[in-house]
Amino acid sequence: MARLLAVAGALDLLVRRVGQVAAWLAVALMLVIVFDVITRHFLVLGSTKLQDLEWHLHAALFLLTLGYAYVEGAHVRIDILHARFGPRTAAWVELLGATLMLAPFCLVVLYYGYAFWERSFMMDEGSASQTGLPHRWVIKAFLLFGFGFLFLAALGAASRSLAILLGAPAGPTHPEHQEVGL
Amino acid sequence: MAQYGPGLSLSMLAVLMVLLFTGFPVAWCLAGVGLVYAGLGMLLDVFNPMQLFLVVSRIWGGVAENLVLVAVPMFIFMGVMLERSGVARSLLEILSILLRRVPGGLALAVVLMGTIMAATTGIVGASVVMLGMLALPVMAERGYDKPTTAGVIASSGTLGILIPPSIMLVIMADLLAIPVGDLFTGAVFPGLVLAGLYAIYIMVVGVLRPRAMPRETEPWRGSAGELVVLLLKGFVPPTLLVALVLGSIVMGWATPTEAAGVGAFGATVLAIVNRSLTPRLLTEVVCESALTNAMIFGILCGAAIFSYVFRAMGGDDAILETIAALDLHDWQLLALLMGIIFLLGFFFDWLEITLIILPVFRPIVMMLDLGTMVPAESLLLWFAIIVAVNLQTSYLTPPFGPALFYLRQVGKDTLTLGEIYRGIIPFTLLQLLALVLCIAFPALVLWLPSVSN
Amino acid sequence: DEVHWQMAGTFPSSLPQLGTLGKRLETQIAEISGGEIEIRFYEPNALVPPLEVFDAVSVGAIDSAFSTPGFWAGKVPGLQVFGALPFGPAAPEYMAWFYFGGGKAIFDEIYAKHGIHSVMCGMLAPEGSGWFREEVPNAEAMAGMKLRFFGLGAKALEKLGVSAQLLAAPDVYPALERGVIDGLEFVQPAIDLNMGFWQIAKHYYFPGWHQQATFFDLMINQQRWDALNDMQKAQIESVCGDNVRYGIAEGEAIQFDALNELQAKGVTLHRWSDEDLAKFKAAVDEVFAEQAAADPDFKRAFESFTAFRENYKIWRDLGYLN
Ligand code: NA
Ligand code: NA
Repeated sequence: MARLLAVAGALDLLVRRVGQVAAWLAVALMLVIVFDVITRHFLVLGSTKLQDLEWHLHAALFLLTLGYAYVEGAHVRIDILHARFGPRTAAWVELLGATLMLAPFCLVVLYYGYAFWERSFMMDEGSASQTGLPHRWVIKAFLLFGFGFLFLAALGAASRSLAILLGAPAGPTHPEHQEVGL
Repeated sequence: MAQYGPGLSLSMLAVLMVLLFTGFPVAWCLAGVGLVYAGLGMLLDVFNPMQLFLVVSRIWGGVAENLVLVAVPMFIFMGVMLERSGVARSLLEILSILLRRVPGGLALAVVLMGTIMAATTGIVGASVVMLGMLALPVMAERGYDKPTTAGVIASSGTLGILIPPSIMLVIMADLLAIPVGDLFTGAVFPGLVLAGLYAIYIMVVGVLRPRAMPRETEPWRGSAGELVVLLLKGFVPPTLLVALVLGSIVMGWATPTEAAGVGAFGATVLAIVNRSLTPRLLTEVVCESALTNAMIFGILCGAAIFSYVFRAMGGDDAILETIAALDLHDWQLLALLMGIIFLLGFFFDWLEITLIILPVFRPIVMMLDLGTMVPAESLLLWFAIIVAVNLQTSYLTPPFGPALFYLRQVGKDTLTLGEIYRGIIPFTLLQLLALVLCIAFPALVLWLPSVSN
Repeated sequence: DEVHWQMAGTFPSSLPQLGTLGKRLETQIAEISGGEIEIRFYEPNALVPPLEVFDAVSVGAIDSAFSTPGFWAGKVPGLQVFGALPFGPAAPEYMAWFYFGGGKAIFDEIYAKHGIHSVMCGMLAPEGSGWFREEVPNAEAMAGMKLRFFGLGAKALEKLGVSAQLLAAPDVYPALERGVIDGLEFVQPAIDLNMGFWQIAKHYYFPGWHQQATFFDLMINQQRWDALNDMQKAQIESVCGDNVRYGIAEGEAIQFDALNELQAKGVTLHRWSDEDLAKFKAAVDEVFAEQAAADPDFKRAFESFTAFRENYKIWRDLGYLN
């Protein structure tokens, strides 16, 4: 039981740290957009590469923070009934949801996503617009990273719920307002 | 597939409803139901495992490699930054001082902000989050009742999908083969009518139920000098920011999507000028924006599998066969169609609905004979706009109303989903009223496009 | 055996030619096969986002897709030779090379590497060269312009100092209206008329040197194709062959009404001078050389195409009036 909690804690920490670092991609995205808007006005650069870079940053940002948001309890829930559940019922919901819905979804995306990534890698896919960024497989790999971390977050939630069902004290399932900082 | 009838695909909706109420995250309930039915389809031999590859295609092509959605993290960042740095607070304070004699003054300010934001973006998630960030704390402090607060914010935040520029109108223009410009101009009055209806409703409630929207009873005690200082502090920074965002679009420097990034940058500069931007604050803003952003994109990822499996299991056909079987004419058909779009809005977002409805209904609509009310050459345009007004409602209707989820997440410490559901009812009725007005008075839609050509 | 296939569209069925040709396939194949073959058209994004259909057909996640080989520049650059080439020929010469000049064999080989059997299945009339907010006196004046432009043509224009922009679909109209971009390339008069660019940009340029004749193709997952019997294969090939005929005839027939209507709406139609076209061509030739150096399949297909055009030249010069 203590081991389950330790596993859950370690997984949460890993996913949270990755998310906290990835969150800064929003600042990079903001700077790229402003750079594009300003330079386009004064210089003649091909903007296609910058505009490709914008969605690359957007994709990496949301993919790498999906798991972080799960760990922090930021994915929205319809909690009309949930609020009235006792800790054991809530743990059952989380255990079953994480193992029967979230984890299988991650595995499906990882399984087919690997084929998707491999195809891109084998042909060294470039931008469809010819003037954009090359090597699409680099950004496509973030699909695998993102759903990989989400999968770990699901495992963490499952082990914590299991521990609670086995009798561990039910702390807050999602330690909200964690100390933010790196 | 057809041998299982419409029942199988339609039962997905029922199962989703049940699972949503377990309180497991909405995003992963969508994904889970999609997976279960894909599995069921495999057992019944109507779904081939390789089709699940399309889940990845849809997440990648529809959500990740999508230049429009780049605006979402930027608008959220702007909203969180404005809230955390205190800029938003000063604005709403000064607005509520100025509007304190107007019933529901603060709520009116939110509608106004929602309308302005709508002219810069069509991304509902971003608008709702930003308005929620800015207005929730202040409205709560002023004693506005919670359902009303929720209704005002959620509905004002969804104006962006109707008021141009709007991604929904662009996609509709494509599917119906009519000029985007006509749809943009056609949507202006319906959007403003809707905002106007919200405003009228708010003032009426403010008069009839002052406890829902308490007016300031205390007279303003400050000196004129203090008022000027407050005015400057409250108005100048946000006005600069609005001017920057709208101005960069109007002056042709930035596209509407890029304007979101410009706005985020502007909000950061304001926080620096305000001397509130510490490394700690920036870290908080960055992390909080990322969490909210991930919440929105989680739902989009879950919907990518749910709506695909629904369609692959013959859900679209079930709907269309039902319509065909009724064999209706003209006004009845129009009414039925509007009803179906409204009902589908309980479960799906506008994109999935337009993809089902518009291509199939385009030829039918072109043959509709609505007498002298709508000239035949404007029929498609008018139809597109009333569908757009109808679809805006889909963001607001429970259980699956994305605008409600976004607001729930922003207000997770203050608002319950029940309060949000209750608060949205009158606004949904106002949407229906706007829809009826656009149908009864086609000139609302058609006049502006006719004079701007 | 009956065949029930899903076909992913990459353009909405409402768009003339781009979409209607795919939709037409659905009805024609049902008629010619007496209902034995159903190839159902799905709107773009309904099942698959347009740029993802190549992978989806290749792995068999969807049976087929209706698209143009030019879409796959980023994945399989060699296929660009089979979509449309800047300063490429008009339809008869292009088809002559494809069907009789060795093009089809290379096309089949390239697709086969990706588990796809593709049948040429449509042809578009020449495109317009672009919509501009201001009159463009000559090719040099394009230097510094911001244009929404794709593909090999965009690469060539960058050599002339144009800044190519990649805009989100909903941004295109406001961007053109507000001057974020100075112009854009879309398709051809009959299609562009519906898009309403004339409401903002009043100068429409021709000829579309970047894209004269454009092939569309029906990509089919190899295993699904192999599972057909000979009659079914012949039915699909016949319907597609007929779709090429239909596309050319329709494409030629629908442009003049659109052009007249555009003029009535106040659009000025321009034609690039021969000197300007020569400058575009020089830039395009540089791009071809780069592409051929970078990709062996592109090189092979392009050399076959160029050799055919050399041989064809004597016939073109003698046999035709101009
Ligand atoms: Na908008
Ligand atoms: Na809804």
